[in-house]
Order: sequence, then structure tokens, then C-alpha cells
Amino acid sequence: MIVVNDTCAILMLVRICPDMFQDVRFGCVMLLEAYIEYTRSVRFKKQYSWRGKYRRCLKSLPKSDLDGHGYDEVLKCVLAAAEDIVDPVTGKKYADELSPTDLKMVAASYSLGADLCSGDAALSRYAAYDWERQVISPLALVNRWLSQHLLTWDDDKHRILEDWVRSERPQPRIDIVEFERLTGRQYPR
Amino acid sequence: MKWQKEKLRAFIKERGLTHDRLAEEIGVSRQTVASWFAGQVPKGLHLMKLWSLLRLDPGSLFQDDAPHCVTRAMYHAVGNETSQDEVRRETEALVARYAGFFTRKDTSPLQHVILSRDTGMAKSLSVAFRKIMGLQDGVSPSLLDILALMAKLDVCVIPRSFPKAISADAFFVTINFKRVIFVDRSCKAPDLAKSLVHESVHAMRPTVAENADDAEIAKEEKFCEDVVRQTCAGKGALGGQTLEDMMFSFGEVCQFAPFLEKHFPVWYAILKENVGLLTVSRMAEVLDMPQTDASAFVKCISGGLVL
Repeated sequence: MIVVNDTCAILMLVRICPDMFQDVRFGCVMLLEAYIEYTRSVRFKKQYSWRGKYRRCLKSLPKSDLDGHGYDEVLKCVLAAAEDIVDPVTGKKYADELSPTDLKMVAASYSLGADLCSGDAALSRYAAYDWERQVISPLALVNRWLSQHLLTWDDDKHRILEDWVRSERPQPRIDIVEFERLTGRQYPR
Repeated sequence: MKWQKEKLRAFIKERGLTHDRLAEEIGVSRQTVASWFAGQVPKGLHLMKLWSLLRLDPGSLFQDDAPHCVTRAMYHAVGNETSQDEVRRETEALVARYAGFFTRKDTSPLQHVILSRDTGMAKSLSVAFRKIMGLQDGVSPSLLDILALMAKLDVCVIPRSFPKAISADAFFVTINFKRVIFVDRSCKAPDLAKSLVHESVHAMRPTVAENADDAEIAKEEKFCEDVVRQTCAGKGALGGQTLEDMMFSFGEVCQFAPFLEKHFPVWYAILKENVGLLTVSRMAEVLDMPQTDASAFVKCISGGLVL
């Protein structure tokens, strides 16, 4: 299954699995817009000071790969629907809550029939409810790799999870339980 | 913007779709379709399928249909017809059939208007009109010159036959701030040319109030006639051909499309933009032509046939 990753998911996962975009078994793709955010966004500079080191691991999906899946038409509808559909939790229009890159990721995941990896609640609601996409958390994607034996868990990787706990959004409880079952380690508190 | 369930109802009725068929086409249950008509906003992907199935612009099921803003119709002076109820009713009914083509979002409510209507202004306006048409001294404009002037002024001219009750050659209204002139295509060219200049002066002037009295209307009409007299002075107007003769003198309906594009460009652009959204019968109604011809016209302007 292909998984479209948002920028935050990439920043959380690339140190755990630098090959996530290079090795097709991981099924991960990213949009050019996410690549640009990763490399150029000033707000990531301090928090992810190591990001330059992993830049070579990134590989964005060529636009031509999306064109064959009616991406432009879908994007037009995703953008228009976001202008009109209101997020039931916040009462705001999705167009006011989500960035253009977020909306492009929804369109890409729909066009490709792919899952979406993100920790953003509004993005998850829009993609999951309105576009019937499976939205998974970064930890759920780690669990998927672990269960497919694509990843061997070790202390170095576990330490990265401590960074997650300090500075990222909490991961879903169900994914934490599954992670603990798969690795036999306690998820950092 | 708000979900327009009534609009969806109207669109599926126009396309002859049942609820069951709609549910099947979109890939949802009948209950889901029923919930849309009850006010539930469809999911994004269902909206996408609806827009595609009904051939609508994305977002179009959310645009509110606020009542159309239509101003009082101004006629080329033929007696005191504007006060007659029947004429007014017929005019309003005719305009209402076209109002949906003019959306507020496409038109700025801020437009240049000529405030003065003194003699000097009539002269200046006629000079400006003649200059825009590129007329030499002593030559009066042809109907086609006037139509070109309308296009440059961004006035939408709609040619059609008029109901019997409307004896004017043309009348002017603004619909959602868009300046529109309806012309009777059975009218002879020289008369129609003058009527069009008359209506174009109305188009340049501030909107006449609904409750304007006869004296005010008379002053307005006199100003328009002053401009017409000076604009159309000279020789060389077309002969006794009607607009209808000019429009339908072609062997093929498809030749009508380029004619409309050349001489009625504003109206043509609107038709082209809406061609995918109209049934043939509706197109026949707005073009005022038989359904078979309307069908051929649709094919022409939507690229179905090589012109």
C-alpha cells in the first residue's frame, strides 16, 4: 500500500527509516511541496537541526506520476470542497484550516488510492471522512513496517521516540499498545 | 457559502435523473441521497462525483441564488409603454428567463456612468461613440458598427424575437449589475441600429429609479435621442434587411456560431461558458430557435463539429 506522507510525518520518520522513500517496499511517497517545506521552512530549522543530513534521503513524487491518475481534476474538487465543507469539530471551513500542501496531499492520496500519514487532526478528518482515505499516524506506519519485518528496532531508534514525546503531537493510544506488543518495549512516557 | 439542496434537486430534475439512478451513479445508498436533499452536505468525494456527473463547476452546488438584481427596463421611446402593466409583465418574464446567466461574481457593481445629460454631454458622447466605431465624418454607422460598439462597451446584446406586447425594437436592463440589451431580431437594420445606440446611452447612464415619474423618463429619453441623432447623422446605413435575415442567411446552423461570436461576443462567451450545463431544450429557448438547430449549435460551440 502506498502512503503519502505529510511534512511532519517525514520529519518524525526519516531518522527511523532513512530508506523510506528510496526502498519501494516501504511504499512511501512525498509531494514536491512537502520536500520544499522540509528543506526551506524556517520554523523547522531549530527544532530539526539535523534535517539537512537526511535531505539526500528524500525523493519527491514526480508530477508526471500524478498526472496519469487525474490528479489535477481531483485537486480542483478537493480545493473547491474545502471551501465549502465545514470541519465539524472546529466549525471552520477546511480551506481556512488546512494549508495548500495539505490539500494537495489529500488530492494525491485520493488520486493514487493511497493512505495518508499525518498527525494533523483537521487534515485527518478531511481526508478520512470526506475522501474516505485511511489516515494513519507516524507510529502506526512504524508498526506497519515492524509487522512486515522491514525494520529492526534498536535503542537508537527508540531514543528518537523520546524526541517525539517531547516535541510532537501524542500518538494514538491504540498505536502505542500495538507498538509495545510488536517490540516488547515500553513506549516512552 | 451554504449547501444548496434545492439547486441539486433542480439539476437532477433537469437531467431527468431519479434518486435511485443518482445513488447508483455516485455509488451511495438511496438514504444517502435522501440525506443530501434533507440538507446534509455530501462528502468531498461524493461532491466530486456529483459535479462530474451533473457537469457542474466545482463549488456550484454551494453558491447561493440570491434574488437576481434586475433594474427597470428602459425602452426605445414608443409612446408611454413602460407604464403599461402587460408590457412590464412580459418584459420581466422575458428577462427572468435570462437572469441566471448573469451572476454577481462576474460583474463589478462599480461601473463608469455619465452623470450629466446636458447638450454638451450629448455631443461629447456621440463623438466618443463615433470615434470608438471608427466612423468618418458624414457616414452613419451600420448595425454591425453599433454591435461592435456594444462589444467594446462590454454590453451584452441578446437577439431574439419579442412577445407581441413588447412593440419596442430593443430594451435595456441591468441584471446583477451587468448591462444587457435585448433586441428584436425581426426589426429592420437601420431602425435597430438607432434603437441600439439609444439603449447604449441608457447603459452609460445611472439606473433609472423604479418610481421615476414620467417627466424624469421623458428627460432621459430626450437625452438618448439627442445622442442617437448626432451619432447616426450621415449617410450609408444598411438597407431593409432585418437582423433575423442576417443571422439566418446561412445554409448551415454552424455558420451561425461564428456570426454570433463576431457580432455578439459577450452573449456568445456566456453561452459557451454555460453550454455544458444546459439541456438542448433550454438552449433552444434562450437562442429562440428550434431544438434541432440548437442541438447543432451546441455541437458547434462545444467543439463537436469542425466549423
